[in-house]
Amino acid sequence: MALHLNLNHEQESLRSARRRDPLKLSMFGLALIVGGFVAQYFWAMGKSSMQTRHLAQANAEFATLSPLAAAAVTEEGELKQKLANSDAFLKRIEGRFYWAPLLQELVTNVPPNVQISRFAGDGGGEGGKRLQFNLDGVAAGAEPRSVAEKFRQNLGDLLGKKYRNVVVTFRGDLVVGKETVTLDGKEVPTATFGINVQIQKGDATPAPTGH
Amino acid sequence: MKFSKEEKQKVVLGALLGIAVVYGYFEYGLGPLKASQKRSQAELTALEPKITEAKKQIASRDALKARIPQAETLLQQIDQLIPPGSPIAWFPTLVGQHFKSQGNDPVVTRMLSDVADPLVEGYRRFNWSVEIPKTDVFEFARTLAEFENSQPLVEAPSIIVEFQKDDPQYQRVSLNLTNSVKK
Repeated sequence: MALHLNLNHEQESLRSARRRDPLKLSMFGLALIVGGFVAQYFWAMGKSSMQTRHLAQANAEFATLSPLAAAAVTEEGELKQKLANSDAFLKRIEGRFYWAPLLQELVTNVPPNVQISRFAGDGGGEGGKRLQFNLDGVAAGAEPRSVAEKFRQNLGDLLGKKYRNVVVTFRGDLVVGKETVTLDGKEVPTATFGINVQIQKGDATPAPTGH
Repeated sequence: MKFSKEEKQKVVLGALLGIAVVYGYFEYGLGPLKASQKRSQAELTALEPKITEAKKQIASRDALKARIPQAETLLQQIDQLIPPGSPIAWFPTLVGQHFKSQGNDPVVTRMLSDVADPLVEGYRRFNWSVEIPKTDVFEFARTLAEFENSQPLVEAPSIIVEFQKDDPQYQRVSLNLTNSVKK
């Protein structure tokens, strides 16, 4: 058997040792990792710069809008005040109660056997939902109480056609006095009465009359 | 596989370098970048509602502005209804002239109160007492109707009509009137 001598074995083992040099291998690995890191860093930096651009745009937009919004707040306050004033005036003017038509209605519809001595009306204040008036008077007839009661009922019917939720009630007693009056040539007794009328303010459809 | 001493040292050195690179990258590279990203994201998140709110505020003002011409016209009309000067100088004359022209004489008008209007900013409410000692209620009702129609800023919170016993064809009227005047 022929003897085969490898005279280069030392060179080969050195080459092999260089090939598997741990430092070199770790350097390769590290370079790979660093390459990955660099790629990730640039990607993150791109994302970050995009976000910074968005932030700058938002800041610029806010810087433009902010004074406009502050001016809008001030102006809105003034505008609201104007609108509130206008609405309040409109409501007040439209919600006024007109006494004249009521007085005209009353004076033209009092029968001859009833005499009104006092009318006192109270509008119920601004924003009040109801107003009321008191009527004091004298009813004359063979049955003065019936005359007064009929007047109360007729008053309720009359006002119920024009106003909402009309409530007509006697205040206190119907007092038949000793005083008499001449009606159609006859002496008839009289009764003094007090009537309270309550009306709901507003122009809606008249509701049924209540007594 | 067996490492020589020198190789072991190189492995340790390589590992140390690796750790240093990873630490350096996260601590001084990606970390600050992420922190800056987080900061700007937080700023952006905080800014967005502010921008929305500002836009909403401007839109709300614009919506109100659309309703203003009508309100301004009404307020101008109202202001034109109010004569210049102190109401104590012109209101009794206004009432007196109106009711006296219909034969109600005398007409006594007195100021009862003067307060800031609680509902309308920039205006005052004056309360007046009007006494008409002798009138015919038919005629008075007609005159009052004309007055109520011609003076939309005047209200009558209360009214008393008393029929005179000694002269039943005449009545005594006490009227409360309220009007609005610009400050």
